[in-house]
Amino acid sequence: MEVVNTALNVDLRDVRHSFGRTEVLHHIDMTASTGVTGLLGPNGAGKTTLLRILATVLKPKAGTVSLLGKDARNRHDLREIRRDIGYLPQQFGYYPNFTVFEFVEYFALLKEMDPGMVRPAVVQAIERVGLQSQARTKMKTLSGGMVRRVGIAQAIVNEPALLLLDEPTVGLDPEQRVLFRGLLRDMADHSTVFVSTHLVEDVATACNHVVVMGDGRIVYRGTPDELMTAGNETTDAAGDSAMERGYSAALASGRAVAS
Amino acid sequence: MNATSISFSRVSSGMIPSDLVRFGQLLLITLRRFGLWIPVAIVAIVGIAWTHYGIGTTSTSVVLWSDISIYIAISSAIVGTGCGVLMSFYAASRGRRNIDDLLDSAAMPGWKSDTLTFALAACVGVTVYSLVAGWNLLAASRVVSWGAPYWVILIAGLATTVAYSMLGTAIGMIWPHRLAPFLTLITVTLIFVATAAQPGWHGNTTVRDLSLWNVLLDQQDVYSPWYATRWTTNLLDCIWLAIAISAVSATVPLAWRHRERSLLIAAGVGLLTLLIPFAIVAGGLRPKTNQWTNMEHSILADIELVCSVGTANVEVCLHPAWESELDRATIMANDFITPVQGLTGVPTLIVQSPVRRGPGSGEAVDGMEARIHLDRYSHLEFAIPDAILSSIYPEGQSWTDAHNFLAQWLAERSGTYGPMHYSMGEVGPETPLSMTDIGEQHDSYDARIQSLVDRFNTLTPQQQRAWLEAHWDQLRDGSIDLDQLP
Repeated sequence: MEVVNTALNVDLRDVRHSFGRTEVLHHIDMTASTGVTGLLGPNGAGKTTLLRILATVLKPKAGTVSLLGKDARNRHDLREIRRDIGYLPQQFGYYPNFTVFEFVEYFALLKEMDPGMVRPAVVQAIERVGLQSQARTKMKTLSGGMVRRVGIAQAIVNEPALLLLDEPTVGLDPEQRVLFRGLLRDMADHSTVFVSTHLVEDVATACNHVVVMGDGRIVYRGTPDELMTAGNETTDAAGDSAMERGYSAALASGRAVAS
Repeated sequence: MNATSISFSRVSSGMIPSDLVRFGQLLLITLRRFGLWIPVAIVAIVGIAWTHYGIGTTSTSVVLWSDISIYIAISSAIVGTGCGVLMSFYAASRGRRNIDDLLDSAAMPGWKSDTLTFALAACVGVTVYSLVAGWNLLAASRVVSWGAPYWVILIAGLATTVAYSMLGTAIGMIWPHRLAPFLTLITVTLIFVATAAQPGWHGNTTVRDLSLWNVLLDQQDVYSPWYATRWTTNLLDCIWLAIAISAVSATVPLAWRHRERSLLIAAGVGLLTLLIPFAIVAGGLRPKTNQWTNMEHSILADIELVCSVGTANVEVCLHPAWESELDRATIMANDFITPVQGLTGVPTLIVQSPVRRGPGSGEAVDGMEARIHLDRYSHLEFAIPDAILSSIYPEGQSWTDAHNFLAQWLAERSGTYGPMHYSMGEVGPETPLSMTDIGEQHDSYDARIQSLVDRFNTLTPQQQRAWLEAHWDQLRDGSIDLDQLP
């Protein structure tokens, strides 16, 4: 019988963050258990900042961050948390002389996986992103879409309990995008996944939950179906599809509340 | 079930072997994909070429382990700088890869993954220096017949190379800019300039004593095959400075980047390691050792000289390190002595001396033995006549025309160098002062001496010998008027 993890893997309480005097996150409260959560929002909405906080790369100025049942402020817990995190940053840098295999292996080791488990895990991760034939290819010779898939492979190599993907589908061709959505659905069975994206179809097809952010606030949370329904019910919001209209409406109402 | 699993995970993650295996695997990947091995090879080739040139131009046919060891060590000025520049380029470009977020989200602490870069820097430094050292030691082992390499000198060169490599890494890590290699070049050059100027030989230690270049100053009188001395405190200072630079280079950037308390403490200890002894040295608080204090106490007692007797029954004994020159030296000495064999003051034994003397001031031990001093600069064509004439001519007497005439005539006969070779500019690095002090009118003087020699050569060997026997005492004390030549 499959065991479904229903624990709160993400629990944010009153999280705030600013860069200098510019406040980029305002009083964020959010919880999540297993499943895929799509983060939608315009540029500068705070999606990347939120994901960086969830990835423990950035410490929030205020609020509490509990990840995988542990306090991210605690030094020892932090290391435990990081062993179970997979993260694909928006700006994905890489070492150009590394092969695909070596790059994924390198990060598997940095994630402190058991050295004996690294090799099979790397092989599996590369297969899951469809790069097995490029495993011995140097990173510097890969196309942008392939580099992105390597980024996804390194993020999932440790079978993370918390997977954070910042615009993972940028540069992927339609076929790869479909494969990627399948991968997300697989991960959703046992992981808490956050996907930041501008593409509403990614959210519609692969996410269980959707969070819309605007101006550093969460302006909408629900399921993709609920967002689509909201889009169907509105006529004056911009967008070609129901979900796009729902997204636009959510942003507009958020701005109205903020002002 | 969950609690048990978490507990096990914590214990196993803290196991050192697992951490070491992981670090080793990461280092292997980093080494395999360093990407700058061709420039590294070029730096090594430049180092080999420079060392080869240095040894080749300053040695005679005899090659000593001290020469090999010193030139290998000093090559660190070139290969160390090269490694530093390469590593700063690597560290700076790595810092511009936009990969910090990814690294910061990993479980392995950031300072540990940064340590990989320093481990790589050490590997690069060791590799380049080992290539230079290995090549030269291998080549030398085929021609050097006596003794063993000076390992402490070689280690000093290694430590310096690694230190420069680490320093370059630190600069590239702190300032990941395209100009970081230039900053490294400037920094290494400043260190070099601050320590490379020739230090004084006496008194207390100074900052300048921290340089490997001091080994060059010490080489003839300390790192000689005659002495047991294998290192001086100056050399140990140099190694200490290199280790301190490496420690500071590694800890300061890590502490600066990761703000870890333990790293800050380590960096502070590293800085103190560097600064306190540096202050002691810079403040001149410790008497220095030098070649003059070293050599008297450390002459090796168990050296068995190699000897050979020539046609004029003159025996030549050399240090075994010069064995390859023994036959030539014997022939040369016997040829030189043949016309004056048996006359007063003419030596029958020529023994190599460990003590470096002022040219021409050597004493005959019992009137039959001459001392010859050979070092890395000595040519037999100069040293043999100098030793024999120093024995023939009474000690402390200034040279006259008579001395120059005899020296030139004997030299021409035996194919060695006489006073006219010096006046014509054919002087070696160790030109005997007594032979160069012949006035300003070189040309006319040379012509006069040469005409005397030519005139003397018109005589038969029997006539020459008879004349020499008749005027030998006056020739020796320089009182003869050369117009009396037959």
